[in-house]
Amino acid sequence: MKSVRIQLSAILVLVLVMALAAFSWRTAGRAETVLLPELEAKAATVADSVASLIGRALDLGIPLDRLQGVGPYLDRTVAGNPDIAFAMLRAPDGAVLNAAGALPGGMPPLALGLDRSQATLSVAVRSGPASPAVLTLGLDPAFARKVVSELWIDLAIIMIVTALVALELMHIAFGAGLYGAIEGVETRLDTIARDDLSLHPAVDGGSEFGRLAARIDRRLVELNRRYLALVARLAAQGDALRQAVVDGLRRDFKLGEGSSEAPVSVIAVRAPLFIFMLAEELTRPFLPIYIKDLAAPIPGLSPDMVTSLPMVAFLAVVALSQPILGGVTDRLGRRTSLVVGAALGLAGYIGSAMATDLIMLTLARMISGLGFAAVFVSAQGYVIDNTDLRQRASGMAMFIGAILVAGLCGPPIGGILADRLGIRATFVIAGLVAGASLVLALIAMPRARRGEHTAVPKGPTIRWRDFGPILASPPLACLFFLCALPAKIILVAYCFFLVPLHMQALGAGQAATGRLLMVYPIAMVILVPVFAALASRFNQRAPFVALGGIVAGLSGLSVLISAEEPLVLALMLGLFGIGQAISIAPQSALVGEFGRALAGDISDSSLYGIFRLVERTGNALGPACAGFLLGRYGFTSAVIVIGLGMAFASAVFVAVFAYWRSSRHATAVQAE
Amino acid sequence: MIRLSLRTLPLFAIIIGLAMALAAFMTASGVSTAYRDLIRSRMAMVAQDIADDINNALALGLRLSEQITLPAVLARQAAADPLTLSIDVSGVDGTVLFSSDPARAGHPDRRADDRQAFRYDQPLVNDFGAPIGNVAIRFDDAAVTRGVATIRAAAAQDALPIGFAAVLAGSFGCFLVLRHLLARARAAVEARGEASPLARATAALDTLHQDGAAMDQLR
Repeated sequence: MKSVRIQLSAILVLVLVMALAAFSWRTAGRAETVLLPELEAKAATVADSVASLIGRALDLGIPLDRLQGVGPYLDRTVAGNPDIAFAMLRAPDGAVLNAAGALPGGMPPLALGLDRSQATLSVAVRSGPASPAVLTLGLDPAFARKVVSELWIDLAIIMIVTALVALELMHIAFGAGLYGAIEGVETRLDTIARDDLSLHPAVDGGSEFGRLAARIDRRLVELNRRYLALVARLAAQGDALRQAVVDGLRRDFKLGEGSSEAPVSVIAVRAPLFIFMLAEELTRPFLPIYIKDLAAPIPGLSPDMVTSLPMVAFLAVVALSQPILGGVTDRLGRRTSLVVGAALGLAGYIGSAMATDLIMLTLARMISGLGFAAVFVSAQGYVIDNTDLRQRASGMAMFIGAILVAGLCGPPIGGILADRLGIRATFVIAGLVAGASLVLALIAMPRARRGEHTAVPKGPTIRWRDFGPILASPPLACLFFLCALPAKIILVAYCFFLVPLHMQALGAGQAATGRLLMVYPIAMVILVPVFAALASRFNQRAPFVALGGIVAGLSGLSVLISAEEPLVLALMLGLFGIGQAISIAPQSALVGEFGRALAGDISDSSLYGIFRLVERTGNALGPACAGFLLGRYGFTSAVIVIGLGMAFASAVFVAVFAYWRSSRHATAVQAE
Repeated sequence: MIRLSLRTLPLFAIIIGLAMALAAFMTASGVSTAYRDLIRSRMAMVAQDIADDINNALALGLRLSEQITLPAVLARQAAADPLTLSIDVSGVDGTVLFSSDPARAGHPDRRADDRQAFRYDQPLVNDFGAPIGNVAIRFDDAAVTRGVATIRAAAAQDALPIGFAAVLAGSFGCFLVLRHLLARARAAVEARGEASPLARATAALDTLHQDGAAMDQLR
């Protein structure tokens, strides 16, 4: 991530946290003013009730010091009223007969009535005309602050998510050209500081940053021109010694090399993509719960299996439509396709909000799924269109980054909204967010130039005849079906299905579920770049893929500690995130590595298209597997079975891979 | 540069505005819930006390409709709380048998239409679990709503200036970051020192070109 973005994130988070602190402090003060009279009124009611109960017992002739069960009764009273700090029954001489709760250091006065300075209320316990005891209740003065402070976790999440959303949309505020120039200047400064004097894609020169970038570029272009001239001259002269010196210059300063950074134009798709993905992620904490509420029994299927059906339908539409949509978005244009996808998303979410039964909801989710696939494919195609092979990784990192950040921001906010406004209202909000993505696509993405849509498709297309050779390749088939497929099954099963339903069964709200679901994307956002770099450095991608799969699979065993404890579920999702982070980048790289060994003219886009199709199939199978296992064996067993399945598949993969590599090595040695 | 930073104001205004609105909404709803819960638990306690009295009388063989001391108890309880509109005890058929408000006795208790009251209903059941009636505590809904409205207004009142300050602070922070970046860029462009990679590469190329020229002359 660019340091200017990190600095802006830090400033935004700081500003928002300070705003939150100031707001909470002010609100706590105001809440006290509003709640205090109610606290006093309630304390008076409680005191009257308790005193009258004791008074009745005294009226029956039971002596005060022989009353049984007063202590436990006071304990229950304090425990049942969080706004009451303590309760104390005293004799007229001040001797404490019974007490419960956190008693104050000094003894409160025996005077009857409300004592605001001590935050106590004393009433007489009456027996006929006599008052043989005084009941004193202590009001909890921090109650109002406690009410506000209980909201802090949710408020802090809102602020952090806000900062992330603001960063994703920052380039809209500046305009893509200016923002590109700002990031462009920073990239140039960073690369120059690393002795990298390679050339960079041009940025918009209309601003001060753009002009500075252009000035830096002029110096770089001049240096590279002189370097290339020198190389050409030495090559003509055949001066090997000086050619070696010049080669050293290339190594030291990367002269004569182009940039691998994505061009500025790629950034235009980030905001609409992020916002659309955010819409889908908002529904994560409550979607299975909503489905369960609407579902009617289907003979032969368990309720949990029925619950999985709309999710399966959504993910199946995503999986099946993506290969077709690659060509469609090529023809329609990325911008138009993304707008259409966002519109379908909007319709699907509003339809989900209005659904009255499972069939309506399933249809609405299928429409959302089609929109999701269209947005995904359009955005991916846009990145591919605007990058060459060298810039592709950087462009795809931006693409994946937007999706991961949306995955981080969506569930907690969706959970909070569902808790406060209800699930249907949150679906409507998700629809509006999808609508905002449509508007952003219209604002930020460039209109297709005349005739552009008729150009040769460059997007991710699958050629059906490539399935045979790809799936007949043992390492690719093992990678696809023992790693990629189970990885997606377990992801959807754990994060989208089992955990939300289990949290509901534990009585947790949607906000708590949303917070819990943040654990996985946090681990991914932080660790994916780390493990990707490690796998490249050690050049051990297959072991990383297998290790990641085993860690992710064994994470499910955490539920053996206690399936009822949300912290254990957080541990499980954290370990699962670590496992996925270990394997995800090396897995993608391995596809290309294994693919290069294939004979024939199988293109990278076809290879990756089939890989993504297998992944999406895993996504679609995830809820079905989870629903089947949950209905039949319960949460703990379902988690363990799916996890062990994943770990086993990864272990088989590494064994097959090792065998395949050693047999290939033996064949090569024999051939020599 | 200031103009540049000002371009972030609309975005920050929208984003921070949304965040503050959500925070204000959540806080107001959290405090309102606590406020209503306090009132409701107070009502529940009164209702439970009355239900206990009724059950004690039932245990002595006095049927609900025969508990003629109830109106006095209800009136005393109602008088103790200024928010109370009435406390009603109804039979299983929904007719108010006793009430702190004599005008309500003998009429059906229309819960669904009772919009002026913030109600708490405590069902009465006998020892066998069979329903025998209901105790309804009716508070003045307008007064309760006023309390909630006060909380909402206070939250909005606090959120506005704090949100405004946050927008300005965010833009100012953005200004500082961009100014720092601009200063770094200017320094890099104008760098002439030997430590600069641009200067070092230029010097190396100059040397190689001079060497090349010298070699060409020798040739």
